[in-house]
Amino acid sequence: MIGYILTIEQKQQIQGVFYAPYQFFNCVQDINDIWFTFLSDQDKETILNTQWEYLLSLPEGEYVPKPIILPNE
Amino acid sequence: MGRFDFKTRTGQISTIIQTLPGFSDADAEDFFARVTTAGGTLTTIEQVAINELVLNLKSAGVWNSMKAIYPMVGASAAACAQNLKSSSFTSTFSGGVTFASTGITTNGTNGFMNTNFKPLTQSISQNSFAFGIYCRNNIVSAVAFGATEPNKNAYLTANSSFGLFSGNNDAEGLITPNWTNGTGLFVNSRTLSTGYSLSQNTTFKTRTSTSIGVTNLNLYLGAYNNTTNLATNFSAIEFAFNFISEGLTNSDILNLYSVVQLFQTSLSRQV
Repeated sequence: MIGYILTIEQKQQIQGVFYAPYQFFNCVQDINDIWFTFLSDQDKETILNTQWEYLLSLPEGEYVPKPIILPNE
Repeated sequence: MGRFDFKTRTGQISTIIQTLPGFSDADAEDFFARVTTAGGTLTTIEQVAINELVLNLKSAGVWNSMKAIYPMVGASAAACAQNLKSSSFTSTFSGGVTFASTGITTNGTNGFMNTNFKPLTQSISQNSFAFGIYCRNNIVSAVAFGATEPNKNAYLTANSSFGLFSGNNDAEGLITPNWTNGTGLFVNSRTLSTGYSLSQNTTFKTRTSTSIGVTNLNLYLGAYNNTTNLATNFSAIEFAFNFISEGLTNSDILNLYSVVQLFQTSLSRQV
């Protein structure tokens, strides 16, 4: 899956921040501990012409998830 | 207002109430107002379906057990965030969630819904706790709903890569065999200290498990909330209903399934 690649600073800037009344950014680390965020097409429309529009210009890359951790492992 | 009877799998006769437009239940009206205030909109078909849902949940005797109900109507974050049962526990969504008339879809990588419901804070009883989801697509995923803490688990899976792992105020456990697919209404309900039921539509499994404690983590949909308040084990599922309640008996769950399935059918999104 292709996502937006974030620096640590960018991740810290947006993690948990609300970009709409009921919606917030969530970032995840890939298998190499690189931070990514994913936005739906609806999210992308929502952040157009906002202070968060720059996210749509960030480099994109293939996200390889960390191995799934079984519950309470 | 018209009525007709239906027969449940157990033979119990219950009453379903069909409501004509213009005759709205007060709780349904309150929900419509919350959606509008939030900036969402509902179609007439959705309003009628919600009104019937409320009336039928009351008729089935499960409305009062409900703590939160997310009917996933309105095709927007503002509408889908609203709790049908009350003005509390309005949910929020992370990026990566898509909204449609058929429900909300999480993406399996970072998208989830935070119900903002903390079971311990809300005085959920250790031996009376239930939650459930209605899934529209059969995709092998991770955790569909809940939170995980050692010995205070509250989560369920549908068609999970883990197998049928689950927890209800206890240490989680694996039940075999897994469900054969991941669509329909899945419910996890504890009414005893010694075990709880898992169901898919009208099929039940029982897990023997002693209740230990109640989590105080917010319950998530599309992933679960782990002990560090982080969403993990994301699922790519289209959800068309989610609820949190006091413990439901198998009879309650069969009635709930009939009501929810009728609701989904009235919105042409049943599976």
